[in-house]
Amino acid sequence: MGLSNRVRYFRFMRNELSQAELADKVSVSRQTIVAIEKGNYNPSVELALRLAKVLDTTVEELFVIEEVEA
Amino acid sequence: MTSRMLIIIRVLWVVATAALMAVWNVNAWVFLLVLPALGPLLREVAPAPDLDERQRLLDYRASHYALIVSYLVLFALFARSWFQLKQEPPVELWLLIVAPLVVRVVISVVQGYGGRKMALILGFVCGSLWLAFSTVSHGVSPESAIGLGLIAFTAIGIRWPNVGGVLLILAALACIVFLIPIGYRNTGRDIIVGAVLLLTLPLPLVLAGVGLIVAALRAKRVARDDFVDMRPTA
Repeated sequence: MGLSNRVRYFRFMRNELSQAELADKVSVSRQTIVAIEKGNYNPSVELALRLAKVLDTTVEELFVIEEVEA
Repeated sequence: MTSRMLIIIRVLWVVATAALMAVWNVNAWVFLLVLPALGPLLREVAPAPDLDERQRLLDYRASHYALIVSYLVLFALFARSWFQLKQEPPVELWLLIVAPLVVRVVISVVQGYGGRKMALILGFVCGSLWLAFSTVSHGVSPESAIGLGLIAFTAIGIRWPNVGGVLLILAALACIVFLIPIGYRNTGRDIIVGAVLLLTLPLPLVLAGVGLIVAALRAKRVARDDFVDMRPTA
């Protein structure tokens, strides 16, 4: 099972919110947003909730668990 | 502890070390060796508000990799000593192996499995190691009984944790009073030998004993039932 995310999509939907602006709004570094978007870092529940709130969506919309077939 | 404060503290540390070198002893540069530990240590005491969760994770991961590298270097030094120089490695190397290992194993096992399991693992491992080493070096001898005793005390702790815990703590005290002084004297009262001996036997036994007793005390506490009013009554 892998975790995919649609942070980039929701940034686009929020008037092309930049990574730096999003990072500033959720109080993390821009590199952390980059890592989340690339799928290199899974955020904590707290950060996921903050991201969802800023991007005006839900955590379930933002992050999706992908079933990988064996 | 923000990054800026940490930089200021580090600079002050370097300046103080330079001052010590100038007015006291040129070998005071050794205080610079504390610098790599200063950051993680201060961060542990005072969390870093300017770091986000991923940066904190990376900070921890860096320390984890540093531990791996340290052990690989130690392996190289031991191998060089035994196979190239054909001599026993200095006792300082043993201290470098034992001290971080005890910290790592204890924290990892306590957090991962709880105090009781940590106590049982430490008790059985210490007893088995003692038994193995004493049997290899002296054959079946009265010294083997110490290892068997530690295993027995730990086994008692499974059923009666308080009794097992007290026995393990008493065994640790007996080590401190009777065994450590012998090893300490036989090696010319070397303080490093004393530290290695203290870390390898009495400390794990004390931790095991305390772990068993604390786990027993916690088990006695009845957890509050927040849903007692909502349960259907028969």
